[in-house]
Amino acid sequence: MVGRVNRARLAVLVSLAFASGARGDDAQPIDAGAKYDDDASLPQHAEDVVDYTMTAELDPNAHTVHGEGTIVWRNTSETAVREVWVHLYLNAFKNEESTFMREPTLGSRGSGGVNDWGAIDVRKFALDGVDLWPSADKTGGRPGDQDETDVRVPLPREVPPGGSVTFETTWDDKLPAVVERTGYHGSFHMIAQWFPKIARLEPDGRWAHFPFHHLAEFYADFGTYDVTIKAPKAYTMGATGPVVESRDEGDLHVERHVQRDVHDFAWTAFDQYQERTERIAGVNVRVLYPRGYGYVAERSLATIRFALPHYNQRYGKYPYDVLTIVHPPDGAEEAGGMEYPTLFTSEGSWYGPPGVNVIELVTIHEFGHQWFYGLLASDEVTWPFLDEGMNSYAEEEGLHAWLGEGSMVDLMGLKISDADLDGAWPGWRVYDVPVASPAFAFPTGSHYGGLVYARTASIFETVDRVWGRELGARAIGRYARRARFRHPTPEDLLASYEEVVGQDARAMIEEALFHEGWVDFRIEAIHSPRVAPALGIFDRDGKRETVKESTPSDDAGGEYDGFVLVARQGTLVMPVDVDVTLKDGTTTRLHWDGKERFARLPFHGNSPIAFAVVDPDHKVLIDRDRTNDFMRTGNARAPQSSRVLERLTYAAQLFFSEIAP
Amino acid sequence: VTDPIFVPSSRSGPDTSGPESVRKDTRLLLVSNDAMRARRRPIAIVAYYMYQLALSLVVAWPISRGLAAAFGGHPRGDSVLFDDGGWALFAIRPAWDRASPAFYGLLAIVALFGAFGGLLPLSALLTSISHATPDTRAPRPRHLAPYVVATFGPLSYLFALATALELALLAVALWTFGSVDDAMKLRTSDPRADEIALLAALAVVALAGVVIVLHDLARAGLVRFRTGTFGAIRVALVTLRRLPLRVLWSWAWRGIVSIALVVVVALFVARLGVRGAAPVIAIAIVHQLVVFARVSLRASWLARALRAVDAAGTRRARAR
Repeated sequence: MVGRVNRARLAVLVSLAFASGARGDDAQPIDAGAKYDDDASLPQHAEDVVDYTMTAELDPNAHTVHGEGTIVWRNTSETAVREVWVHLYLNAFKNEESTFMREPTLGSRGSGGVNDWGAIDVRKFALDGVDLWPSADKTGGRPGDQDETDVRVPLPREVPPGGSVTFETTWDDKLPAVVERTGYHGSFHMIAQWFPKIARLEPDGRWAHFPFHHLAEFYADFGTYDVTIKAPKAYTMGATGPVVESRDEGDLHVERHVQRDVHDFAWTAFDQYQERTERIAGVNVRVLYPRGYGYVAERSLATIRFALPHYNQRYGKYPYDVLTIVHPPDGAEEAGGMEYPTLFTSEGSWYGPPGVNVIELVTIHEFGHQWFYGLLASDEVTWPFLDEGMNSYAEEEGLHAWLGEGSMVDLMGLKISDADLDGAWPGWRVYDVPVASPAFAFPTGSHYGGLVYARTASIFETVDRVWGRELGARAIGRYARRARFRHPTPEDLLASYEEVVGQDARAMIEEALFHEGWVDFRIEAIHSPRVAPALGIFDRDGKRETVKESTPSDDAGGEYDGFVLVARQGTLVMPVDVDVTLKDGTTTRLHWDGKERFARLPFHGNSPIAFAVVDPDHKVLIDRDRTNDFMRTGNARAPQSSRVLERLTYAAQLFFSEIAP
Repeated sequence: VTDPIFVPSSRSGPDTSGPESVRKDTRLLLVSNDAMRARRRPIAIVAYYMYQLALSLVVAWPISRGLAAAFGGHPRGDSVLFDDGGWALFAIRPAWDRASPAFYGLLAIVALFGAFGGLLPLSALLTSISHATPDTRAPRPRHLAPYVVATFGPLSYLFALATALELALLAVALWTFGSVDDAMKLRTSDPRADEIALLAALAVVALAGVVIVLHDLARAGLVRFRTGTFGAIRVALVTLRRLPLRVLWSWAWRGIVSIALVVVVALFVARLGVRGAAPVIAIAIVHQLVVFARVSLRASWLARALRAVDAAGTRRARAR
């Protein structure tokens, strides 16, 4: 029942999204052209919409933060506004009536409940000396809803296009026990989604505001964050942006961080942190990690040594001076694997075995978010595939470029690639929900993970493999550079692929993302008889002649004619190769444009066909069933199958020797 | 050959400790302590190895046939399952999801059968190592059969008891690890806390190791002295009390070598690859040598246990 409701709701949402410009009725590509294929035209700065100047003090014993400061907000839309929307994300953990707590999303971060509640209490939100908070609509105009994460604040005066206002605000946070990326665990504190945050105003005057959904992330305008953070001296702190001032005040250590061109600010404080720093590709990289995690820190740094230059080259230069990697301690895993501007949290146990590349995977994934979230700043609630999906694709590509086919596991001769793992992950979920759905439209965390992350990555990896890596790299690079600081929509992404790779690739991507598109290639039949005189009764030169069948062996030589019948099921259209292996051992590669449902690929040779394999190089990562990609004729001897038997027998012998007497 | 225990003695009257079904022509004699060596019974060791191989094939064969059918249409057959990247492994995932309940069911049944059914070849091995025919030859199956049947019941009780105890200790070890880890992480770093918790858990696991040793000593006592279940346990306890270090070390070094063999060979095989028939044949030979070596080490330990129960003077303990 829940699934049906979600599907219906989803259909409406997707329709609205298309109608509102996602498919380009009124949205144009931001700035078409090849000038974004390198960094020459890379935008230098974002439009400065909202500047936060804040001071925050952590009480690590009470797990509270007291904050105060000013928010300068500019109306960069085309219409005047009489209200602002403020997100108080921390209230997601205030009680069981929040939207977050009421969405029973299985199989995702935050599903384990809240061990210690958290909340944000705004004490003042004043404009021109008048506190607007008492008149604010704390539940966002949703009758009967007690969620307090999306607050509407009416303004006493209109803010015209181009106008600005300055809010003075004071607030108090009670941090939750670590849940859904934020909170405390012992003396470890990850302080994220912790201040009153102005929602993004779209150019048409619409506020992109929403309650904090379980599966959704965030969306905000760019600006400058000037934040002074305080914690007891024993605590090491890390935060978004570089430290421009550092001093002690009594028992407190004070750091001032200033960063422009970002859209969020997170910080951390822990009295057990150890620290490593290294300058990589012109960026000061700092790793904060618990005692005993030096091995993990080194693996994270090794990842960045590869990834920073690689991503600079593919997606445009990283524009900030600093990058901070935070490794949470054991027990605070919910704070791990999360991205913020110039700072991200990693994951992995201190004993992570070499060859199981979890640390590398999480590090490169969260690092990639500096582009696909940080610099592009797409709407993560409405189009989560634009950040998580495209970033997973970047992760697959990056890990493969660095570690090869064993990018996920490279252990004792077993090599598992991140791309193949992602290709298999979504399974049957492909048919449930379009990939390009809002985050809250996915019925489970498994659907969200399998489709938004893995399916998106597999779609774009398939484009690379089928149409060529060079074209794929140029398309994604053009998109990432052109959309930098511009809050791109799906149309911007599709436009880049259409410009660079072509209309066929765009059509495939669009079908796969928006319409639950799928494909299954298979070998349907193989036919390769010996070329022989036609059989039957013939009247030649006035005489009747009967030609009868002769059955020489296949080894008797001669020529063979025939075909391979290859089929394409599903709605996705793309070209594919077919390998034909003859009985004499030679292999010929044929090509099919894949436009029709079936194709008879003609064959002529000196030996009959033994095997046919469609997509022999596994380019179509999203092929639904790969076990029907090949076929053997009666001419061919079955290949040896002793390897599996040998390994399984050995494994069983070891197993039984342990459990049997 | 000394110390006939199943041959009636004129002084002590008919021996009633042997199975009543023993016929004259199948009677065996207990060999001297020094003669109880696994290497003197190579055929028994091979038979035990063959039993494990047969049991393993019951599980491995149907799966390998299924995979061979799934990939038989590919020019490289099921060797694609070893391709870098793992595409073929993921391709069979949907089929595996459907077939796995049946597989686990089969595995459970075979494991249960293997565990209890394995007591028969084990008993045969123990009897063979510790006994000989009156003309000092190794016992043949017809000699062993009545002894094996007679010891199956007590060996089964011992097995059930020891398994329950080992599982309980394993549960305690897990609980110990979690409890110590949680407590220590508030006071020290994660790695140090994990190390301390692991040491605490290993102490419990070591107890499970002692149970395994006691179990084998009891089996040896049962076969050697024809005791009942509890008599065998008494023999094992007395033996371990009198020769604790020697017995535990005898078991431990063989266990360590068994594990090391698997690890070293796994590292070696990882370098060989699977392309071509020669590496597959080479790997198969190496793997079977490993299994045979492990079976031989096991037999060697059991022979040691058979000697130990006598050397510790347990016959007197049994008499009391």
